[in-house]
Amino acid sequence: MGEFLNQVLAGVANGGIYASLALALVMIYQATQHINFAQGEMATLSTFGAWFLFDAGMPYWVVFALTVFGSFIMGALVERLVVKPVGTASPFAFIAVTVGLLMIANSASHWVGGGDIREFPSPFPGWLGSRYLSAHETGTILVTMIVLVALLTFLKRTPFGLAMRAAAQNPVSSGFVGIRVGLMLTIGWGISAAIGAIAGMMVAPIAFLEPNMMGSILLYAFAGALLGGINNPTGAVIGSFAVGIFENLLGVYVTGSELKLTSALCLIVILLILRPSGLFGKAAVSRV
Amino acid sequence: MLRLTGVSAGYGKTPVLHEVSLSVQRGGVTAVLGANGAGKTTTIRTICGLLPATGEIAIAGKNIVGQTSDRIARLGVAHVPDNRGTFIDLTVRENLLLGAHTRRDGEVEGDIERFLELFPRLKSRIHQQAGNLSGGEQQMLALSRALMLRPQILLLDEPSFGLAPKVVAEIFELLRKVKEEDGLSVLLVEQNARMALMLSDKAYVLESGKVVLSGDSRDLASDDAIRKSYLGY
Ligand SMILES: Nc1ncnc2c1ncn2[C@@H]1O[C@H](COP(=O)(O)OP(=O)(O)OP(=O)(O)O)[C@@H](O)[C@H]1O
Ligand SMILES: [Mg+2]
Repeated sequence: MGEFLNQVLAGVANGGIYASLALALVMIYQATQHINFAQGEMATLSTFGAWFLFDAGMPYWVVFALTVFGSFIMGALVERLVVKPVGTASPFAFIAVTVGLLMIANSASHWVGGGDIREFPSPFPGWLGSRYLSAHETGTILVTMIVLVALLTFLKRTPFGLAMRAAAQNPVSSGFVGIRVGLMLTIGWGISAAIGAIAGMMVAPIAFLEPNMMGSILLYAFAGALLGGINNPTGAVIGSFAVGIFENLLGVYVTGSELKLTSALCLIVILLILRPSGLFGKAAVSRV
Repeated sequence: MLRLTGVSAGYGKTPVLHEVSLSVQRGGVTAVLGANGAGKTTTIRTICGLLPATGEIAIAGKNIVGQTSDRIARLGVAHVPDNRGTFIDLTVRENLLLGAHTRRDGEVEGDIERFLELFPRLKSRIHQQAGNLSGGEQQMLALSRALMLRPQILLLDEPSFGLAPKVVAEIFELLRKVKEEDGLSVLLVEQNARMALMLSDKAYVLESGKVVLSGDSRDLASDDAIRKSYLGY
């Protein structure tokens, strides 16, 4: 029983990681009604940026702030320079653009980082740790919760967040009420890249920093977001924890670690078929 | 308040409007009438900046041709589109708040209260997803949302379409009230010519994208020949 509990908690620790990236996916979905497949690789690139700032001798939280800000700018520029010119008239165009971005960001990480595997510092003091979770795992969960609350406050409680959701759902009507739809998209990309950067900085101390660090994590985060509801930040976080636990238990007791990723993929497919809006997501109403 | 001078517009290569000229007085109501496909909706879309146009469209003397729809909205032009333009995934309250997106004054909550008093059916559904409202309720919401902008001019595309006569009467009553209380100018597109002529002071009849008839609403309504041949009642 003690062993089982340990495995559940290990799953919770993983879930905290997935949840942080899942929030970036939720954000881009709220702003564009699409999934950004490059979210993980953009986060990795941000984390490489952070690594070079550390290497230059800056203190942790200064680097953290600079990286989050820099990533916001990167996300906004990507939208302005790449996504917008290509156009997102069809969902296919959007997928093609983000898959292309995935490859570009991955190459960029290889280019700036080389093939080296780098250690990345954790900011959390030892006393945060316990018998069950390491200091970094506890800290990651805390950071994820803070991001969740900030995101919920922004989206649900501020006029700007409301305008952003409106612009994504109904750009034409948004124009009629004076919302600058293009600006909303740009800022939405910026915010989601900033959240992704936070996720990357939480992942890197565990996984080591290397160009493919986020590859499988994106998949789990995607599964978690789908499970909980891609248009529901709280649901996406709960879903990510569920996926973390499910994946870990499955790996330990059932399939062995080789099939964990496959099982996450299966989960995604099953969810897309059975309940595309997620367990907590609101199904879109359509009235014809 | 609003003046179109020689405006031509269309969709892609298909021209629809040909040299349309019309105007709305400050505090006045102008009706645009015409059969299906005459170009009424296209006229409104062109004013809102959704379609490329030639000619001049002036709001309070300022030419707005070529501006984006959000900038035109920020000039005080509100629009109730023919499909009602509801944000279906957002709540009724959020829809109303969005109407006030351009405003920076502290009276938004008061205005929401005002429209909820006028449309009690919206009040009881204030936290529901707007997509779940009935057609009539969505029309009330669309009108309230547009008025939340505190517009200088309101563009209405067939506010009576698909609604029960009782609801239509309610909506026209509200329009009359807001017009008098707030000095609002209105461009009203309608197929319901009788209602539109009662509310408006000036009217234009469109046919195949051209203005074929215009004048004082009262004169048009009292001319039997015109009523029979153009207005169909
Ligand atoms: N999106 C579009 N693309 C191409 N042509 C269009 C489009 N919308 C309308 N049209 C054409 O423009 C002409 C005018 O249409 P419009 O919608 O302005 O008519 P309307 O007067 O509003 O008619 P109704 O009373 O049926 O609403 C029609 O011939 C129509 O086929
Ligand atoms: Mg029409």
